[in-house]
Amino acid sequence: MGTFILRRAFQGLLVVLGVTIVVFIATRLIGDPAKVMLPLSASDAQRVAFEAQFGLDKPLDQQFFAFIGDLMSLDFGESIWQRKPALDVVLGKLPKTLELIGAGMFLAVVIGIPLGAIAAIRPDGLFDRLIVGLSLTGLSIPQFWLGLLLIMIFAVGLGWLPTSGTGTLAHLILPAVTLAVPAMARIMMLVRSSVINELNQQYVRTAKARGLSFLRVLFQHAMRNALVPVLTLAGWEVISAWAGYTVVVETVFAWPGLGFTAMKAIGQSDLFLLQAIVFVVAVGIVIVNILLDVLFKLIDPRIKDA
Amino acid sequence: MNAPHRTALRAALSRMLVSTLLLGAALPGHAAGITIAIGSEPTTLDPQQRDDGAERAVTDNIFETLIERTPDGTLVPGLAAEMPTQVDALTWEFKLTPNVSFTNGEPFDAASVVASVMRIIDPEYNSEQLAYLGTIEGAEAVDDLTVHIKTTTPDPVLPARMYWMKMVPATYSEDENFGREPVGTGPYMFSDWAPGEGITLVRNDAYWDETPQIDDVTYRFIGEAGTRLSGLMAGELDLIRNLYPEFASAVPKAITTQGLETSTLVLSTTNPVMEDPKVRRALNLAIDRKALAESLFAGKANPVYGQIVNPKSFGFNDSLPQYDYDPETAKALIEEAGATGKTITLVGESGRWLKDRELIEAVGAYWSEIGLTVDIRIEEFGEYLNQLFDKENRPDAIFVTNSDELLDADRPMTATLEYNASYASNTDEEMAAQIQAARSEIDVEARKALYTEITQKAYDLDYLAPLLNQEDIYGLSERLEWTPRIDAKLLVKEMSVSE
Repeated sequence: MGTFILRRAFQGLLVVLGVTIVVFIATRLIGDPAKVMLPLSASDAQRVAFEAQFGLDKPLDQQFFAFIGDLMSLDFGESIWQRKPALDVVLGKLPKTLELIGAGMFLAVVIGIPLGAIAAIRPDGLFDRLIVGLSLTGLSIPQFWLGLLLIMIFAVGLGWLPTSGTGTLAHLILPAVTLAVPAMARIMMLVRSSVINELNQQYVRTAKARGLSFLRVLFQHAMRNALVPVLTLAGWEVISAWAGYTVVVETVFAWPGLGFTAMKAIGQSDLFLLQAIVFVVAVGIVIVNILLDVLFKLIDPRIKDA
Repeated sequence: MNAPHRTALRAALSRMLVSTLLLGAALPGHAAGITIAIGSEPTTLDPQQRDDGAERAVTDNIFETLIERTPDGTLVPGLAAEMPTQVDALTWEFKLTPNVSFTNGEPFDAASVVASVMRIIDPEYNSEQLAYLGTIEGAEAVDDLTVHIKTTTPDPVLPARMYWMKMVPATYSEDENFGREPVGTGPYMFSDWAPGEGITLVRNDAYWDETPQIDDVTYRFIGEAGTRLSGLMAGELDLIRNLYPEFASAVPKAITTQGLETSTLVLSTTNPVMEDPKVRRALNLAIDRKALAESLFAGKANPVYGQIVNPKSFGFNDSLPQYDYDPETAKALIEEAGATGKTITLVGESGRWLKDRELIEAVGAYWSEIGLTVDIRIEEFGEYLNQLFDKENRPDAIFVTNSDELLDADRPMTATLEYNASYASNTDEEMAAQIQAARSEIDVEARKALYTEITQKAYDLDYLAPLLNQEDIYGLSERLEWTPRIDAKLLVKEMSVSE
């Protein structure tokens, strides 16, 4: 297990390095921070001075080697927009995004799994149809629109929750629900189909014939076997939320996290901040992947170390 | 119980009643705090570092400037005791208001003015606001309440520049905490900054000028227009800005004022089809500006008066008319020029300015109607800027919105019309020389005359197709009373709460 994790970590390191280099090149191709950051009526001389300050006037290859050198000591330079070390900006925004993803994914899993399993007990029954209908709705609603709709109903109309911002648990509810809905819908659908599949297996009939109660069969056997695909999906949901799907939710709810910061960094052509964001996100994805791999091995030792 | 006792009892009771009522009245009085939404979280509250409208919304209330503007834009003394006088072509003398101090106890005097000036122009400090302050060379104290400010070239705009430059305390501004916990002379003092959540200011009860009514103000950071709107509708916010015209009827109170932004198309005067003045005249005649203002901005924008200069700015030429909408003449001119069916390129961007894409597409449609083929290119913002500032290849027409923060013709003229300076598309060296001359013409009348000539020529030769002066639209809660300002500043001291 130890060597397995080490190997995965090494592979992950290569991925992170590759992604970071790609981002370096991409950010140098798009946008020019001197033009974006300074007022449109700033003079050409002021723009040149601005570029010199951030080392953007140097030849690209020089910039690149300096970048790689700094990367080794995790120095991403100073954010042009925030005028603070870029990595500090990212790490400062990280907790808010993790809070949002944590709450959203928790909701998706604790609601999605039981509802999916219950729906599977009587396929095509009334409850099943209701669940399938809800899932499809949840999958088709654009998150942006869903967020605004929830604000209009629960904050403006009923006045139960704040419209946006952060600070209390009440502030977390609407953004977390908005983030959770599509994930919840996908998890429900997957649990439902996996459990239906398992319940039709020979071993279930055997178990039932042995006189085991239906609930025991459901939870001890069928659900357990359905766990691997569901975990895979849940992991994917976490990764995709982490890799950028919180942007929409953070924007609609003025949630001061990483997604919102990334949008701003792109808008301001803040190359250094973007590089730090992509680096941290890539590291996060690698870590989640390693955790999932370990988890799979624990659940099902037959999974190979490939 | 005898009569005197009863009287005493009644008196006591009525005192209780009165004090309860007063207290009761005082409770909502305590709620005389307001909440304002700004588009993003400031990166610092150091008022001299960045060029950031969200930061200005906050620091405009903490800090003050030597020169202020009245709500309609007239320059008046602020921390200066009177308007500055010129000692010589390069030196301006400012007399300061006595007995003013920063809220940490540092005195406001000549030393703090000199410190403020030297700090913001220090190349090491690298302020983004230098674009507004370019000509300032330095400052020296003459006595405790007199300062000389020097410029590199004669600079008639200096008083307006000093309206921009905020005064900071000489000692504390060097402290590394200054950007997090700022200290100024203004009517409000910094109280709290919860990262990601909000910034709170409280009233400065020792303020040297008239004490404002509102006790405290909280700023929240909401980038998304729909979210700001719902915050106002839910009663969480008292003031939002940049309200979309179509939402003006959805909020408790919507108020508008003439804004600083003017949209325009910068027309090439050298490209094949565009070099013919008849074509450029036709492009201007083809646009129905009134219809654009009505349909895209719900009437909350005004067709320009033949120029890009804001009607409230110095240098506005009041002899120029609004552009006629005359598609028939335009069509005839295009035919006369032999340009019918020719292609012109219209470059723009999307999402930077209110309704930019819609404006560009509408203009493109108007131009198609007079017989031209219009190639509309909506570019990603970075690429758009590359084309905007490309000195070699000028697009036939490029869209831009100019914001005239200093309310002076110099910056809009330099940006849109001065050959080889910024993003002008003409090659008129004579006009460039005039713009440069106006920049350092100290005689007010002579300077005004120069701008009259420049704007008249740009109008006659159609170097630009200016479109609309946009209005700023604010959404207010029912209880907030406020009249917006031409310079778009959100000065809490000018607001009051009715409750």
